[in-house]
Amino acid sequence: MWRRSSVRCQRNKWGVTVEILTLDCRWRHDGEGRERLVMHLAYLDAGSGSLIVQAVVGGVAGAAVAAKLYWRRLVDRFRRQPTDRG
Amino acid sequence: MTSSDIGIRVDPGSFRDPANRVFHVGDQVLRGLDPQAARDWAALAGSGFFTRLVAEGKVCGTEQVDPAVLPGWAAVLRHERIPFVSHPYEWSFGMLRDAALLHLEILRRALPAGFTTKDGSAYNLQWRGVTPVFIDVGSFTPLADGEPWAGYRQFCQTLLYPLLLQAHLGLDFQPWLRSRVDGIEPDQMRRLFRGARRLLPGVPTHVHLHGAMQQRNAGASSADVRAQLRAAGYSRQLALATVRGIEKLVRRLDRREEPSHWVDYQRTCGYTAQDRAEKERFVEAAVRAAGAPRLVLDLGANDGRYARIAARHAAAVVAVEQDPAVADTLYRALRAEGDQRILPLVMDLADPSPGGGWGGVERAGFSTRARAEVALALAVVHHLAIGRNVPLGQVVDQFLGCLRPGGRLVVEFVHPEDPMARRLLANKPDGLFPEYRRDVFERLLAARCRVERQRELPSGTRTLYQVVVGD
Repeated sequence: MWRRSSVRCQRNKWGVTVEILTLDCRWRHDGEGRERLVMHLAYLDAGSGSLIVQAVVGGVAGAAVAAKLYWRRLVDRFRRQPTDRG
Repeated sequence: MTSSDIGIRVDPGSFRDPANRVFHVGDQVLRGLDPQAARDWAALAGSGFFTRLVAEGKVCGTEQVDPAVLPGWAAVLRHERIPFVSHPYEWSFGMLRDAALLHLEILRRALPAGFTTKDGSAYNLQWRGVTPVFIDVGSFTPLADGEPWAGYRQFCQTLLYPLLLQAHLGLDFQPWLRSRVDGIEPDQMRRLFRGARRLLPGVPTHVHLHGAMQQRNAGASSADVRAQLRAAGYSRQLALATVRGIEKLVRRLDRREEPSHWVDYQRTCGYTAQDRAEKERFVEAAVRAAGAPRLVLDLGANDGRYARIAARHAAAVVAVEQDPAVADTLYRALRAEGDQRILPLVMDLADPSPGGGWGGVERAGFSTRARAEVALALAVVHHLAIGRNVPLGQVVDQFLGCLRPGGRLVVEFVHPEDPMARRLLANKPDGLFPEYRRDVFERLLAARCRVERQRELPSGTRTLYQVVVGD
Protein backbone atom coordinates (compact mmCIF):
# COMPACT_ATOMS: atom_id res chain seq x y z
CA MET A 1 0.00 0.00 0.00
CA TRP A 2 1.29 3.46 -0.91
CA ARG A 3 0.69 6.93 0.39
CA ARG A 4 2.60 10.17 -0.01
CA SER A 5 3.85 12.45 2.67
CA SER A 6 5.38 15.88 2.20
CA VAL A 7 7.11 18.73 3.98
CA ARG A 8 4.62 20.60 6.12
CA CYS A 9 5.13 23.34 8.70
CA GLN A 10 2.58 24.18 11.38
CA ARG A 11 2.61 26.65 14.29
CA ASN A 12 1.50 25.22 17.64
CA LYS A 13 -0.43 27.05 20.37
CA TRP A 14 2.78 28.59 21.75
CA GLY A 15 3.54 30.09 18.35
CA VAL A 16 6.53 27.76 17.61
CA THR A 17 6.86 26.47 14.09
CA VAL A 18 7.06 22.67 14.00
CA GLU A 19 8.15 20.66 11.02
CA ILE A 20 5.55 17.91 10.83
CA LEU A 21 7.43 15.82 8.28
CA THR A 22 10.75 16.46 6.69
CA LEU A 23 10.47 13.72 4.12
CA ASP A 24 9.05 13.92 0.64
CA CYS A 25 8.89 10.36 -0.38
CA ARG A 26 6.74 7.25 -0.24
CA TRP A 27 5.93 4.83 2.52
CA ARG A 28 5.13 1.18 2.01
CA HIS A 29 4.01 -1.57 4.38
CA ASP A 30 6.74 -4.18 4.69
CA GLY A 31 4.34 -7.03 5.36
CA GLU A 32 5.09 -7.14 9.09
CA GLY A 33 2.83 -4.25 10.03
CA ARG A 34 5.62 -1.67 9.73
CA GLU A 35 5.97 1.06 7.19
CA ARG A 36 9.17 1.42 5.26
CA LEU A 37 10.48 4.46 3.46
CA VAL A 38 10.97 3.88 -0.26
CA MET A 39 12.83 6.37 -2.43
CA HIS A 40 13.00 6.29 -6.18
CA LEU A 41 15.79 8.41 -7.57
CA ALA A 42 16.08 9.20 -11.25
CA TYR A 43 19.00 7.88 -13.28
CA LEU A 44 20.99 11.11 -13.43
CA ASP A 45 19.79 12.31 -10.01
CA ALA A 46 22.82 12.46 -7.76
CA GLY A 47 20.63 12.13 -4.64
CA SER A 48 20.86 14.81 -1.94
CA GLY A 49 21.99 12.43 0.79
CA SER A 50 24.54 10.84 -1.56
CA LEU A 51 26.07 14.27 -2.17
CA ILE A 52 26.44 15.07 1.53
CA VAL A 53 27.89 11.70 2.51
CA GLN A 54 30.76 12.26 0.07
CA ALA A 55 31.96 15.14 2.22
CA VAL A 56 32.18 12.81 5.22
CA VAL A 57 34.01 10.15 3.18
CA GLY A 58 36.60 12.78 2.23
CA GLY A 59 38.23 12.66 5.67
CA VAL A 60 38.59 15.27 8.40
CA ALA A 61 38.33 18.25 6.05
CA GLY A 62 35.23 16.73 4.49
CA ALA A 63 33.62 16.08 7.85
CA ALA A 64 34.25 19.75 8.70
CA VAL A 65 32.42 20.77 5.51
CA ALA A 66 29.49 18.51 6.41
CA ALA A 67 29.42 19.94 9.96
CA LYS A 68 29.46 23.47 8.52
CA LEU A 69 26.58 22.59 6.20
CA TYR A 70 24.47 21.32 9.09
CA TRP A 71 25.44 24.28 11.29
CA ARG A 72 24.29 26.70 8.56
CA ARG A 73 21.04 24.81 8.14
CA LEU A 74 20.40 25.09 11.88
CA VAL A 75 21.25 28.78 11.98
CA ASP A 76 19.08 29.44 8.92
CA ARG A 77 16.15 27.73 10.59
CA PHE A 78 16.36 29.97 13.66
CA ARG A 79 16.89 33.05 11.50
CA ARG A 80 13.72 32.31 9.53
CA GLN A 81 11.47 32.02 12.57
CA PRO A 82 11.11 35.77 13.42
CA THR A 83 10.06 36.36 9.80
CA ASP A 84 7.49 33.54 10.08
CA ARG A 85 5.99 35.17 13.18
CA GLY A 86 6.02 38.64 11.74
CA MET B 1 12.65 8.06 -44.91
CA THR B 2 13.09 6.53 -41.45
CA SER B 3 16.30 5.69 -39.65
CA SER B 4 15.77 2.00 -40.28
CA ASP B 5 15.46 2.70 -44.02
CA ILE B 6 19.02 4.03 -44.10
CA GLY B 7 20.37 1.25 -41.86
CA ILE B 8 20.63 3.24 -38.62
CA ARG B 9 19.77 1.21 -35.53
CA VAL B 10 19.31 2.94 -32.17
CA ASP B 11 21.10 1.21 -29.31
CA PRO B 12 18.27 0.32 -26.90
CA GLY B 13 20.56 0.77 -23.89
CA SER B 14 21.57 4.38 -24.46
CA PHE B 15 18.43 6.42 -23.77
CA ARG B 16 19.09 7.33 -20.13
CA ASP B 17 21.05 10.52 -20.88
CA PRO B 18 19.00 12.57 -23.36
CA ALA B 19 22.06 14.69 -24.24
CA ASN B 20 23.52 11.90 -26.37
CA ARG B 21 22.51 8.59 -27.91
CA VAL B 22 24.32 5.62 -29.39
CA PHE B 23 23.50 4.25 -32.85
CA HIS B 24 24.73 1.33 -34.93
CA VAL B 25 25.28 1.77 -38.65
CA GLY B 26 26.57 -1.44 -40.15
CA ASP B 27 29.60 -2.35 -38.06
CA GLN B 28 30.10 1.22 -36.86
CA VAL B 29 29.21 2.46 -33.37
CA LEU B 30 28.18 6.12 -33.52
CA ARG B 31 27.13 8.59 -30.83
CA GLY B 32 24.95 11.60 -31.56
CA LEU B 33 25.51 14.67 -29.34
CA ASP B 34 23.09 17.53 -28.68
CA PRO B 35 24.47 21.12 -28.85
CA GLN B 36 25.56 21.22 -25.17
CA ALA B 37 27.13 17.75 -25.33
CA ALA B 38 28.91 18.81 -28.55
CA ARG B 39 30.45 21.80 -26.73
CA ASP B 40 31.50 19.51 -23.83
CA TRP B 41 33.05 17.11 -26.34
CA ALA B 42 35.03 19.94 -27.99
CA ALA B 43 36.49 20.86 -24.59
CA LEU B 44 37.14 17.20 -23.71
CA ALA B 45 38.85 16.39 -27.01
CA GLY B 46 41.25 19.28 -26.44
CA SER B 47 42.18 18.16 -22.92
CA GLY B 48 45.41 16.29 -22.30
CA PHE B 49 44.02 13.84 -19.75
CA PHE B 50 41.41 12.48 -22.17
CA THR B 51 43.91 12.02 -24.99
CA ARG B 52 46.24 10.16 -22.63
CA LEU B 53 43.42 7.90 -21.35
CA VAL B 54 42.49 6.98 -24.93
CA ALA B 55 46.16 6.36 -25.82
CA GLU B 56 46.53 4.08 -22.78
CA GLY B 57 43.45 2.12 -23.89
CA LYS B 58 41.52 3.04 -20.75
CA VAL B 59 38.83 4.94 -22.65
CA CYS B 60 37.49 3.52 -25.91
CA GLY B 61 38.94 5.03 -29.08
CA THR B 62 36.76 7.91 -30.26
CA GLU B 63 36.85 10.28 -33.23
CA GLN B 64 34.52 12.95 -34.52
CA VAL B 65 32.89 12.26 -37.88
CA ASP B 66 30.66 14.13 -40.32
CA PRO B 67 27.40 14.92 -38.47
CA ALA B 68 25.45 14.26 -41.67
CA VAL B 69 25.63 10.50 -40.91
CA LEU B 70 23.14 11.01 -38.04
CA PRO B 71 20.56 13.62 -39.00
CA GLY B 72 19.29 15.75 -36.11
CA TRP B 73 22.40 15.71 -33.94
CA ALA B 74 24.82 18.63 -33.46
CA ALA B 75 27.90 16.41 -33.55
CA VAL B 76 28.61 12.74 -34.15
CA LEU B 77 31.36 10.56 -32.68
CA ARG B 78 32.53 7.16 -33.87
CA HIS B 79 33.69 4.72 -31.21
CA GLU B 80 36.02 1.78 -31.39
CA ARG B 81 34.04 -1.47 -31.54
CA ILE B 82 34.13 -3.65 -28.42
CA PRO B 83 34.52 -7.35 -29.40
CA PHE B 84 31.68 -8.62 -27.18
CA VAL B 85 29.31 -6.56 -25.06
CA SER B 86 28.91 -8.01 -21.57
CA HIS B 87 26.99 -6.95 -18.47
CA PRO B 88 28.26 -6.52 -14.89
CA TYR B 89 26.19 -9.50 -13.70
CA GLU B 90 28.27 -11.64 -16.06
CA TRP B 91 31.56 -10.52 -14.54
CA SER B 92 33.53 -12.20 -11.79
CA PHE B 93 34.50 -10.46 -8.55
CA GLY B 94 37.97 -9.52 -9.82
CA MET B 95 36.46 -8.13 -13.01
CA LEU B 96 33.95 -5.98 -11.15
CA ARG B 97 36.70 -4.73 -8.83
CA ASP B 98 39.04 -3.85 -11.70
CA ALA B 99 36.16 -2.14 -13.52
CA ALA B 100 35.42 -0.11 -10.36
CA LEU B 101 39.09 0.84 -10.01
CA LEU B 102 39.24 1.97 -13.63
CA HIS B 103 36.15 4.13 -13.18
CA LEU B 104 37.71 5.72 -10.10
CA GLU B 105 41.06 6.24 -11.85
CA ILE B 106 39.34 7.99 -14.74
CA LEU B 107 37.49 10.26 -12.34
CA ARG B 108 40.68 10.93 -10.34
CA ARG B 109 42.48 11.98 -13.52
CA ALA B 110 39.52 13.99 -14.86
CA LEU B 111 39.00 16.13 -11.74
CA PRO B 112 42.31 18.07 -11.82
CA ALA B 113 41.66 18.75 -15.53
CA GLY B 114 38.29 20.31 -14.70
CA PHE B 115 36.08 17.38 -15.77
CA THR B 116 33.88 14.88 -14.01
CA THR B 117 31.47 12.12 -15.05
CA LYS B 118 27.71 12.57 -14.94
CA ASP B 119 27.17 9.07 -13.66
CA GLY B 120 29.05 6.23 -11.99
CA SER B 121 27.40 3.16 -13.46
CA ALA B 122 29.09 -0.20 -13.93
CA TYR B 123 27.50 -0.15 -17.40
CA ASN B 124 29.99 2.61 -18.33
CA LEU B 125 32.60 -0.14 -18.64
CA GLN B 126 33.25 -2.94 -21.10
CA TRP B 127 36.13 -5.32 -21.82
CA ARG B 128 38.79 -5.93 -24.42
CA GLY B 129 39.83 -9.41 -23.35
CA VAL B 130 40.65 -9.04 -19.66
CA THR B 131 41.30 -5.30 -19.91
CA PRO B 132 38.48 -3.00 -18.78
CA VAL B 133 37.67 -0.01 -20.93
CA PHE B 134 35.50 3.03 -20.19
CA ILE B 135 32.99 3.40 -23.03
CA ASP B 136 30.63 6.18 -21.96
CA VAL B 137 32.42 9.16 -23.49
CA GLY B 138 29.15 11.11 -23.28
CA SER B 139 29.40 10.91 -19.50
CA PHE B 140 32.31 13.40 -19.31
CA THR B 141 31.17 16.90 -18.42
CA PRO B 142 32.93 20.06 -17.19
CA LEU B 143 33.29 20.15 -13.41
CA ALA B 144 31.51 22.87 -11.47
CA ASP B 145 33.82 23.69 -8.58
CA GLY B 146 32.44 22.89 -5.17
CA GLU B 147 30.24 20.02 -6.35
CA PRO B 148 30.58 16.41 -5.22
CA TRP B 149 30.50 13.56 -7.74
CA ALA B 150 26.99 13.08 -9.14
CA GLY B 151 27.79 9.45 -9.95
CA TYR B 152 28.62 8.38 -6.39
CA ARG B 153 25.18 6.89 -5.68
CA GLN B 154 25.27 4.83 -8.88
CA PHE B 155 28.84 3.79 -8.21
CA CYS B 156 27.79 2.45 -4.81
CA GLN B 157 24.71 0.67 -6.17
CA THR B 158 26.29 -1.00 -9.20
CA LEU B 159 29.93 -1.42 -8.18
CA LEU B 160 30.80 -0.88 -4.52
CA TYR B 161 27.85 -2.65 -2.88
CA PRO B 162 28.13 -5.81 -5.02
CA LEU B 163 31.82 -5.94 -4.09
CA LEU B 164 31.00 -5.52 -0.38
CA LEU B 165 28.45 -8.35 -0.60
CA GLN B 166 31.06 -10.76 -1.94
CA ALA B 167 34.03 -9.58 0.11
CA HIS B 168 32.30 -9.31 3.49
CA LEU B 169 29.45 -11.83 3.28
CA GLY B 170 30.70 -14.31 0.65
CA LEU B 171 27.51 -13.79 -1.40
CA ASP B 172 27.73 -13.92 -5.18
CA PHE B 173 26.66 -10.49 -6.40
CA GLN B 174 25.65 -11.54 -9.94
CA PRO B 175 22.01 -12.46 -9.17
CA TRP B 176 21.53 -9.11 -7.37
CA LEU B 177 22.78 -7.09 -10.32
CA ARG B 178 20.94 -9.23 -12.85
CA SER B 179 17.60 -8.66 -11.14
CA ARG B 180 18.03 -4.92 -10.61
CA VAL B 181 19.27 -2.81 -13.50
CA ASP B 182 19.98 0.13 -11.17
CA GLY B 183 21.89 -1.98 -8.67
CA ILE B 184 21.47 -2.54 -4.94
CA GLU B 185 20.03 0.32 -2.87
CA PRO B 186 21.59 1.47 0.43
CA ASP B 187 18.38 0.60 2.25
CA GLN B 188 18.71 -3.05 1.18
CA MET B 189 22.37 -3.15 2.11
CA ARG B 190 21.71 -1.76 5.60
CA ARG B 191 19.51 -4.74 6.41
CA LEU B 192 22.27 -7.15 5.41
CA PHE B 193 24.92 -5.41 7.50
CA ARG B 194 23.55 -5.35 11.03
CA GLY B 195 25.22 -6.07 14.37
CA ALA B 196 29.01 -6.37 14.24
CA ARG B 197 28.87 -6.34 10.44
CA ARG B 198 28.17 -2.60 10.66
CA LEU B 199 31.86 -2.12 11.44
CA LEU B 200 33.30 -3.92 8.40
CA PRO B 201 35.44 -1.76 6.07
CA GLY B 202 33.35 0.64 4.02
CA VAL B 203 30.08 -0.31 5.72
CA PRO B 204 29.71 2.46 8.35
CA THR B 205 30.06 5.28 5.82
CA HIS B 206 29.11 4.01 2.36
CA VAL B 207 26.24 1.81 3.55
CA HIS B 208 24.78 3.01 6.87
CA LEU B 209 25.61 6.70 6.79
CA HIS B 210 24.75 6.84 3.09
CA GLY B 211 21.36 5.21 3.66
CA ALA B 212 20.61 7.40 6.66
CA MET B 213 21.62 10.56 4.77
CA GLN B 214 19.40 9.60 1.85
CA GLN B 215 16.43 9.22 4.16
CA ARG B 216 17.11 12.42 6.12
CA ASN B 217 17.60 14.47 2.95
CA ALA B 218 14.93 12.88 0.82
CA GLY B 219 12.95 16.12 0.80
CA ALA B 220 15.89 18.35 -0.15
CA SER B 221 16.57 19.00 -3.82
CA SER B 222 19.99 18.07 -5.20
CA ALA B 223 20.43 21.63 -6.48
CA ASP B 224 19.89 23.10 -2.98
CA VAL B 225 22.29 20.63 -1.39
CA ARG B 226 24.92 21.38 -4.03
CA ALA B 227 24.63 25.09 -3.25
CA GLN B 228 24.85 24.41 0.50
CA LEU B 229 27.94 22.25 0.07
CA ARG B 230 29.59 24.87 -2.11
CA ALA B 231 28.86 27.56 0.49
CA ALA B 232 30.26 25.28 3.22
CA GLY B 233 33.57 25.04 1.36
CA TYR B 234 33.39 21.73 -0.57
CA SER B 235 36.32 21.87 -2.96
CA ARG B 236 37.89 19.98 -5.84
CA GLN B 237 40.62 18.78 -3.45
CA LEU B 238 37.95 17.31 -1.23
CA ALA B 239 36.35 15.57 -4.21
CA LEU B 240 39.78 14.10 -5.03
CA ALA B 241 40.27 12.96 -1.43
CA THR B 242 36.88 11.24 -1.59
CA VAL B 243 37.82 9.38 -4.78
CA ARG B 244 41.16 8.32 -3.28
CA GLY B 245 39.37 7.09 -0.16
CA ILE B 246 37.00 4.93 -2.21
CA GLU B 247 39.91 3.62 -4.31
CA LYS B 248 41.77 2.60 -1.16
CA LEU B 249 38.69 0.76 0.10
CA VAL B 250 38.04 -1.05 -3.20
CA ARG B 251 41.69 -2.21 -3.37
CA ARG B 252 41.30 -3.78 0.10
CA LEU B 253 38.25 -5.83 -0.91
CA ASP B 254 38.83 -9.37 -2.06
CA ARG B 255 36.78 -12.43 -2.83
CA ARG B 256 36.09 -14.77 0.07
CA GLU B 257 37.27 -18.24 -0.87
CA GLU B 258 34.40 -20.71 -0.84
CA PRO B 259 34.86 -24.40 -1.77
CA SER B 260 33.67 -25.15 -5.30
CA HIS B 261 33.29 -28.48 -7.08
CA TRP B 262 34.31 -26.91 -10.39
CA VAL B 263 37.57 -25.31 -9.25
CA ASP B 264 39.32 -28.68 -9.41
CA TYR B 265 37.30 -30.07 -12.32
CA GLN B 266 40.10 -30.43 -14.86
CA ARG B 267 42.12 -32.53 -12.43
CA THR B 268 39.21 -34.72 -11.31
CA CYS B 269 37.25 -35.13 -14.56
CA GLY B 270 39.06 -38.31 -15.58
CA TYR B 271 40.66 -37.52 -18.94
CA THR B 272 43.70 -39.52 -19.94
CA ALA B 273 46.70 -37.68 -21.36
CA GLN B 274 45.95 -39.21 -24.79
CA ASP B 275 42.31 -38.06 -24.64
CA ARG B 276 43.37 -34.55 -23.75
CA ALA B 277 46.01 -34.33 -26.50
CA GLU B 278 43.57 -35.66 -29.08
CA LYS B 279 40.88 -33.24 -27.97
CA GLU B 280 43.27 -30.27 -28.15
CA ARG B 281 44.29 -31.20 -31.70
CA PHE B 282 40.66 -31.56 -32.75
CA VAL B 283 39.66 -28.16 -31.29
CA GLU B 284 42.66 -26.34 -32.76
CA ALA B 285 41.99 -27.76 -36.24
CA ALA B 286 38.31 -26.75 -36.03
CA VAL B 287 39.09 -23.15 -35.08
CA ARG B 288 41.81 -22.93 -37.73
CA ALA B 289 39.36 -24.24 -40.33
CA ALA B 290 37.10 -21.27 -39.57
CA GLY B 291 39.82 -18.96 -40.94
CA ALA B 292 40.73 -16.38 -38.28
CA PRO B 293 37.24 -16.09 -36.76
CA ARG B 294 36.26 -12.77 -35.16
CA LEU B 295 34.49 -14.42 -32.24
CA VAL B 296 34.72 -17.86 -30.65
CA LEU B 297 32.46 -18.87 -27.76
CA ASP B 298 33.72 -21.45 -25.30
CA LEU B 299 30.56 -22.66 -23.56
CA GLY B 300 31.56 -24.26 -20.27
CA ALA B 301 35.14 -22.98 -20.25
CA ASN B 302 36.26 -24.11 -16.77
CA ASP B 303 40.01 -23.29 -16.53
CA GLY B 304 40.11 -21.92 -20.09
CA ARG B 305 42.33 -24.63 -21.60
CA TYR B 306 40.40 -24.72 -24.89
CA ALA B 307 39.66 -20.98 -24.89
CA ARG B 308 43.43 -20.43 -24.90
CA ILE B 309 43.83 -22.80 -27.86
CA ALA B 310 41.05 -21.00 -29.74
CA ALA B 311 42.65 -17.62 -28.97
CA ARG B 312 45.71 -18.63 -31.02
CA HIS B 313 43.59 -18.32 -34.15
CA ALA B 314 40.66 -16.03 -33.23
CA ALA B 315 40.40 -12.27 -32.72
CA ALA B 316 38.28 -12.69 -29.58
CA VAL B 317 37.17 -15.57 -27.38
CA VAL B 318 34.38 -15.43 -24.82
CA ALA B 319 34.86 -18.09 -22.16
CA VAL B 320 31.52 -18.76 -20.45
CA GLU B 321 31.69 -20.47 -17.07
CA GLN B 322 28.84 -20.95 -14.62
CA ASP B 323 30.89 -20.99 -11.42
CA PRO B 324 31.84 -17.44 -10.32
CA ALA B 325 34.91 -18.69 -8.42
CA VAL B 326 36.22 -20.63 -11.44
CA ALA B 327 35.59 -17.69 -13.77
CA ASP B 328 37.41 -15.40 -11.33
CA THR B 329 40.40 -17.74 -11.14
CA LEU B 330 40.50 -17.81 -14.95
CA TYR B 331 40.26 -14.00 -15.11
CA ARG B 332 43.17 -13.57 -12.69
CA ALA B 333 45.27 -16.16 -14.55
CA LEU B 334 44.64 -14.47 -17.90
CA ARG B 335 45.53 -11.06 -16.41
CA ALA B 336 48.78 -12.54 -15.08
CA GLU B 337 49.54 -14.04 -18.50
CA GLY B 338 48.90 -10.70 -20.23
CA ASP B 339 46.25 -12.26 -22.47
CA GLN B 340 44.48 -9.77 -24.77
CA ARG B 341 41.82 -11.90 -26.43
CA ILE B 342 39.89 -13.98 -23.92
CA LEU B 343 36.94 -12.54 -21.99
CA PRO B 344 35.77 -14.81 -19.13
CA LEU B 345 32.10 -14.48 -18.23
CA VAL B 346 29.96 -15.94 -15.45
CA MET B 347 26.80 -17.53 -16.81
CA ASP B 348 24.86 -20.74 -16.33
CA LEU B 349 24.11 -22.26 -19.75
CA ALA B 350 20.86 -23.64 -18.34
CA ASP B 351 19.88 -20.12 -17.26
CA PRO B 352 21.50 -17.70 -19.74
CA SER B 353 21.29 -13.93 -19.21
CA PRO B 354 17.85 -12.73 -20.26
CA GLY B 355 17.12 -9.30 -21.72
CA GLY B 356 16.81 -6.72 -18.95
CA GLY B 357 15.93 -3.13 -18.15
CA TRP B 358 13.38 -1.08 -20.06
CA GLY B 359 11.29 -3.18 -22.42
CA GLY B 360 13.52 -6.14 -21.68
CA VAL B 361 15.97 -4.90 -24.32
CA GLU B 362 17.96 -2.18 -22.53
CA ARG B 363 20.46 -4.88 -21.55
CA ALA B 364 20.49 -7.43 -24.36
CA GLY B 365 20.13 -11.09 -23.46
CA PHE B 366 22.95 -13.53 -24.19
CA SER B 367 21.16 -15.13 -27.12
CA THR B 368 20.88 -11.72 -28.82
CA ARG B 369 24.59 -10.98 -28.40
CA ALA B 370 25.98 -14.43 -29.14
CA ARG B 371 26.70 -14.51 -32.86
CA ALA B 372 29.96 -16.38 -33.16
CA GLU B 373 31.85 -17.97 -36.03
CA VAL B 374 32.80 -20.90 -33.80
CA ALA B 375 31.26 -22.30 -30.61
CA LEU B 376 32.93 -24.91 -28.43
CA ALA B 377 30.66 -27.07 -26.27
CA LEU B 378 33.10 -29.47 -24.67
CA ALA B 379 31.99 -31.80 -21.89
CA VAL B 380 28.79 -29.84 -21.25
CA VAL B 381 26.09 -31.82 -23.09
CA HIS B 382 25.78 -34.42 -20.30
CA HIS B 383 25.61 -31.72 -17.60
CA LEU B 384 22.68 -30.07 -19.39
CA ALA B 385 20.90 -33.20 -20.64
CA ILE B 386 21.32 -35.38 -17.53
CA GLY B 387 22.20 -32.89 -14.80
CA ARG B 388 19.56 -30.30 -15.75
CA ASN B 389 17.06 -32.55 -17.61
CA VAL B 390 17.16 -30.40 -20.79
CA PRO B 391 15.94 -32.47 -23.80
CA LEU B 392 18.93 -33.43 -25.95
CA GLY B 393 17.55 -31.76 -29.09
CA GLN B 394 17.10 -28.47 -27.24
CA VAL B 395 20.68 -28.64 -25.98
CA VAL B 396 21.89 -28.89 -29.59
CA ASP B 397 19.52 -26.07 -30.65
CA GLN B 398 20.91 -23.74 -27.99
CA PHE B 399 24.49 -24.32 -29.13
CA LEU B 400 23.61 -23.81 -32.79
CA GLY B 401 21.67 -20.65 -31.87
CA CYS B 402 24.94 -19.02 -30.79
CA LEU B 403 26.36 -19.22 -34.32
CA ARG B 404 26.26 -16.97 -37.36
CA PRO B 405 25.15 -18.62 -40.63
CA GLY B 406 28.02 -20.82 -41.78
CA GLY B 407 29.39 -21.01 -38.23
CA ARG B 408 30.99 -24.11 -36.76
CA LEU B 409 30.16 -25.99 -33.60
CA VAL B 410 32.62 -28.29 -31.88
CA VAL B 411 30.64 -30.47 -29.52
CA GLU B 412 31.66 -33.36 -27.31
CA PHE B 413 29.22 -36.16 -26.55
CA VAL B 414 30.01 -38.09 -23.38
CA HIS B 415 28.67 -41.62 -23.81
CA PRO B 416 26.29 -42.99 -21.12
CA GLU B 417 28.96 -45.51 -20.09
CA ASP B 418 31.59 -42.79 -19.39
CA PRO B 419 32.41 -42.51 -15.64
CA MET B 420 31.27 -38.83 -15.49
CA ALA B 421 27.96 -39.60 -17.23
CA ARG B 422 27.46 -42.65 -14.99
CA ARG B 423 28.02 -40.48 -11.93
CA LEU B 424 25.33 -38.05 -13.10
CA LEU B 425 22.91 -40.86 -14.05
CA ALA B 426 23.39 -42.48 -10.65
CA ASN B 427 21.71 -39.47 -9.03
CA LYS B 428 18.60 -39.80 -11.21
CA PRO B 429 15.81 -42.42 -11.20
CA ASP B 430 16.61 -45.46 -13.38
CA GLY B 431 15.53 -45.22 -16.99
CA LEU B 432 14.85 -41.47 -16.90
CA PHE B 433 17.02 -40.74 -19.94
CA PRO B 434 16.47 -43.54 -22.49
CA GLU B 435 17.20 -41.05 -25.32
CA TYR B 436 20.62 -40.11 -23.96
CA ARG B 437 22.49 -42.25 -26.49
CA ARG B 438 25.20 -41.61 -29.06
CA ASP B 439 23.03 -42.69 -32.03
CA VAL B 440 20.22 -40.34 -30.96
CA PHE B 441 22.67 -37.47 -30.57
CA GLU B 442 24.12 -38.10 -34.03
CA ARG B 443 20.64 -38.21 -35.54
CA LEU B 444 19.80 -34.85 -33.91
CA LEU B 445 23.00 -33.31 -35.27
CA ALA B 446 22.42 -34.65 -38.78
CA ALA B 447 18.89 -33.22 -38.83
CA ARG B 448 20.13 -29.72 -38.03
CA CYS B 449 23.56 -29.29 -39.59
CA ARG B 450 26.29 -30.95 -41.60
CA VAL B 451 28.85 -33.04 -39.72
CA GLU B 452 32.27 -32.17 -41.16
CA ARG B 453 34.26 -34.62 -39.07
CA GLN B 454 34.06 -36.64 -35.88
CA ARG B 455 36.55 -38.41 -33.67
CA GLU B 456 36.18 -40.83 -30.81
CA LEU B 457 38.71 -40.17 -28.06
CA PRO B 458 41.16 -43.02 -27.24
CA SER B 459 39.32 -43.90 -24.00
CA GLY B 460 36.32 -44.88 -26.19
CA THR B 461 33.68 -43.14 -24.06
CA ARG B 462 33.64 -39.65 -25.62
CA THR B 463 33.18 -38.47 -29.21
CA LEU B 464 33.94 -35.05 -30.70
CA TYR B 465 31.96 -33.61 -33.62
CA GLN B 466 32.71 -30.64 -35.83
CA VAL B 467 29.55 -29.44 -37.54
CA VAL B 468 28.71 -26.50 -39.76
CA VAL B 469 25.35 -24.73 -39.92
CA GLY B 470 23.42 -23.05 -42.69
CA ASP B 471 25.69 -23.53 -45.69
